[in-house]
Amino acid sequence: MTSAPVRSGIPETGEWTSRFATAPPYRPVSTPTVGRTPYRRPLDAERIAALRGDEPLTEERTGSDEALLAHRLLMNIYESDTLFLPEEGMAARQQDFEAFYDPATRLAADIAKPAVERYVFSFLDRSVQVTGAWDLESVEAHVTAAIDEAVHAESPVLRAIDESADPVRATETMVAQMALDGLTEATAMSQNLGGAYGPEQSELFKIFVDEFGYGVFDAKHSTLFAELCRSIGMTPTAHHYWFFYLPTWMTSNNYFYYVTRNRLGFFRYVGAMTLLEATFAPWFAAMSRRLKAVYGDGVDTRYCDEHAHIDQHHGRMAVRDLLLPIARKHGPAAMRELVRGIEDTKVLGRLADADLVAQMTWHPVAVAGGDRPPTGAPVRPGQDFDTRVAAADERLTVLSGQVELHHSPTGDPLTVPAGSSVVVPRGRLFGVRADRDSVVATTSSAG
Amino acid sequence: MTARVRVEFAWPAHNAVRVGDETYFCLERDGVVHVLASRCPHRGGPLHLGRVEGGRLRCPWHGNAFRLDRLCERGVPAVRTGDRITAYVPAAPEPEDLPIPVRQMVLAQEEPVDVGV
Repeated sequence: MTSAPVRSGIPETGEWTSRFATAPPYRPVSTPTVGRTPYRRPLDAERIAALRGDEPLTEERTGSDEALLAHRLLMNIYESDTLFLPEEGMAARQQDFEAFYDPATRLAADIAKPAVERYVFSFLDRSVQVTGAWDLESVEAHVTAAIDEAVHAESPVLRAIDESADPVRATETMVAQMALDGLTEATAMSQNLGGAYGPEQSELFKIFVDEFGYGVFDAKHSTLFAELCRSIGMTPTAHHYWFFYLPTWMTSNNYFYYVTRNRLGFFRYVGAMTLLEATFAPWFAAMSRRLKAVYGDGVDTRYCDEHAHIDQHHGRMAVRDLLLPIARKHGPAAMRELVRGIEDTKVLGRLADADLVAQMTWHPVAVAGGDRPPTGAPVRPGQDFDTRVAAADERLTVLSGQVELHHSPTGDPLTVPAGSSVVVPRGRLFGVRADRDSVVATTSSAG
Repeated sequence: MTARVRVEFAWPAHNAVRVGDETYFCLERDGVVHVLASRCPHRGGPLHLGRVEGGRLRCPWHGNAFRLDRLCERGVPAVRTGDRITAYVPAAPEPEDLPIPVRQMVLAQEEPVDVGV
């Protein structure tokens, strides 16, 4: 525990939220990527303290700066209860390890969690309404239709890569989002492997046996994902690209913690997981083709190829051996939650796709001249780095010095010299950094 | 098991579904839309033209009143996301009688509603 907590805007547990957010693992860093450690996940405690917890996020605000801050906080709350060990061994990381799992910080996390969850996820109660007396036939018809609809829909994300002027940057922006789950061993989705709930537990385990590579490290899906990252020059350390996770993609990842850490969400989890498993295969086959088109033969597509194959089986297994037997055994209340999980997944997927496409297709340009605001804020070399989401169309004008605009996890940032400006559209994620003393004015922009 | 048929419609542009001789209507309660069978279990009266009084829906024919929470609990399986409703209504005896989303007068609401077509 460190400095005195800042009062947070999230009610009921604000002090605990601040205690957690100001703990050492969550302190700022000065670089746009986080070092090769699982224990550094920067949070901006002051901006988190300004969140209006009495106004939960709406569906329209799931891509907002408030969502970004709250989901970073929530992901850290969840993952501080998940085991991460440093790849290079503990010798140089002992202090970080102890700080990350410090019992007092963990206590703050557990107390803060329900209020943060309500803040970010209660919109789903309004966005998805499941009513009536569901029976097995209606559940089966609904899951079949949902799968059919998803597997036949064109992916807007893959289309955006196809049409991108910078397909490498676009692809790597997507891969960085996938790393949320890909490099953390499907942790969020695997929280229900323990317990005692009959034959369906064994059916779920069969799916994860494939996920975990049958006890062979080189066959684990997370190992294959790391090899994909290496083959395209990306760093395969969990959360290395922390600052470039989009809020909607964190929403999807945190959702699985949300419905699994609280066992009341079990049936919702099964519905959500089933829809994903049943629709991944064609998506990954298409992604594998895109990766080869973008990077050539050097890219390691085994992660995608494995999913393109095994998820044909997982889809069938999840529906036939897991979801329907659970529906049959546990009845109408469970059925309603299974359907709710399916619908949650559709909503979250739609929001994440739209957010990612908007980020991928944003190509900022520095323009010389124009209006020169009288004052701005200093940006100094070595100061804390952070990214945020623009609340409205914003114009950043460099009054002196020179700054870098970071808008993607890889690729060169945009250099904006003194006397120039750049427009950041509403909803886009960006960060600013300088290698010399600079002053930047932020004003609203008409475009 | 009831044989069911899937129907999708835009709410509130459509507020009922007809399948053969049966009508299923939308009832909004605490911001949640339920799809309910209109046929009164007493003598088949049109519940969609009934009145909501004290948490009960009163049939306009013989005045039987049914608890709304129970009607909703036993309603047609349905999902609403945004303005789209997907429902699984009981199939008609004649397979060619497919469900047809319609806009019609529905009086059965907890608050006074505009019944204009």
